[in-house]
Amino acid sequence: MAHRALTIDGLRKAYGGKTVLDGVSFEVPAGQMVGIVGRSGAGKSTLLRCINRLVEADAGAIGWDGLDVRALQGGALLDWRARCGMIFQQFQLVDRMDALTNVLLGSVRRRRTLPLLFRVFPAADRAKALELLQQLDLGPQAGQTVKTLSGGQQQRVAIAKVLMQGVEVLLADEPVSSLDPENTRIVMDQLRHLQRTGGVTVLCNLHNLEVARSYCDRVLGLSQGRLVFDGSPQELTAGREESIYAGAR
Amino acid sequence: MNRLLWLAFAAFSAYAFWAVDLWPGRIWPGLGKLARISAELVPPDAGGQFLTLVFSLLETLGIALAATVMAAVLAFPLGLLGSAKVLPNWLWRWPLRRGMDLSRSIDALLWALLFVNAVGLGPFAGVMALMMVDLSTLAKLFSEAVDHSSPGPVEGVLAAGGNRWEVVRFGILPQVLPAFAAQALYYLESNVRHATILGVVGAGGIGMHLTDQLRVNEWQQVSMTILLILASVTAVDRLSRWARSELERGS
Ligand SMILES: Nc1ncnc2c1ncn2[C@@H]1O[C@H](COP(=O)(O)OP(=O)(O)OP(=O)(O)O)[C@@H](O)[C@H]1O
Ligand SMILES: [Mg+2]
Repeated sequence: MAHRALTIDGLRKAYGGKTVLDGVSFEVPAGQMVGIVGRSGAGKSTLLRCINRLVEADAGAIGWDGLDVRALQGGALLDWRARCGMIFQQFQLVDRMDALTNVLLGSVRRRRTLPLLFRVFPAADRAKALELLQQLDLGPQAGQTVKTLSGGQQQRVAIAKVLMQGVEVLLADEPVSSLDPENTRIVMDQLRHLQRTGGVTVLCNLHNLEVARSYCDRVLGLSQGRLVFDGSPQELTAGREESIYAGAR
Repeated sequence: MNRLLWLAFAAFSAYAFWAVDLWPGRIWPGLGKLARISAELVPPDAGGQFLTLVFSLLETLGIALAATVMAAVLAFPLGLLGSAKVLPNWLWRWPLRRGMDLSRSIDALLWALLFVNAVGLGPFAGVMALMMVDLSTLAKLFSEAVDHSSPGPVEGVLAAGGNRWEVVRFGILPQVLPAFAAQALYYLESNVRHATILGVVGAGGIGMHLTDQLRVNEWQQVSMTILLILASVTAVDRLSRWARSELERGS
């Protein structure tokens, strides 16, 4: 407990002979907000997906609070996914269902499967979900089909969902890349708030360096599957920036 | 090679014309008879059997509805199991899909003949016959819809710690259920049309009366029966088309 951290050690992943993650190692102390930058195809999404095991890495270790993440199986793996939330550029919500149900799906691991399949949720959960939506200024939209919400609203529903989930680690894969500046600010403020007041460890892929600079404690630079930068936003000078984004294709 | 194929085609066509005795001279007397029959069709008259006709029409609608509901209920799990998104590396998928192809390639009327032999005359054979054809088609269409569903919601549920059931329920079903319901409704329409003819082979419904009336040349009753069929087919079409447009709007 003294040293809670997310540790990534020598992580490798290849797709059909093409190396995507080439021995990535770093450690994130609990409660830090880390931005991950790098050009398209550098392996940022793959890295996050390995952490919650949506993708299986080929080699290396992932640890969180004494947990050997890569060894988890069955229910223990699902438990880990519940502790480690993810939000996506394309939101990945159940877009034909209403916002409230989507938020309630954050509690999927804590509740019994059968009632859930019939969309029966405990009253306390419904109240909590509604409260979370209200906190995110989405009270009036609780009953609205997600598909009909704007991008910014959908991403806020996704945030309410991980709040419902009660995550310890949050993986955010370009959460603001399809949003306008106003919504970018709202969403990034929320992530920052989650980290500051909730103590959530946040790993956030970003393709806008300015956003990384103004919101993150620390920036990781990935290039062709390798970690080429690890430092504070201040250390990310124009020269270092170039080295992250250079790299032959 | 191409020329050879054409030659074979022409030869077979010539044989076919000869075999069915297709000859312009035959159609004229036939047309004359048709004209006489048309005159005898009016006015439509139930011959005092109006209620009987209405009841067997209801039976026809019942056959169509029961067959569609049973087919949909069975096609639902089969369709899900038939998709790689639900059961990856499932050994039985291939035989399942081929079996479906087979049962679909046999016409409903043929199934009806088989079932009349197996379970006896009556509407039950009709229900089974229509169901056999629809079950396989619906299951296949449903499987394909599941295959082509978008991976986004699935990821969303997985990332929250959802298990297999929850992934299917929330990641896949909301995407494919409206289309599935629309397809089932479409089959209801087509089943009502098919069910009217099943009586011809003794598998229940209005077709039985139609065959009898034709046999004894009761042309006024024939026209009455056809009018009733037309009315009910149109009514079901309207209803189902409305329901489908509602589904589309809701989704
Ligand atoms: N499922 C997959 N099958 C094959 N190749 C894949 C798969 N997923 C990713 N890749 C490849 O892995 C490489 C890294 O992909 P990844 O999505 O991790 O990059 P990224 O840094 O997130 O890029 P972007 O900024 O465009 O999102 C790319 O070359 C991509 O084509
Ligand atoms: Mg990416």
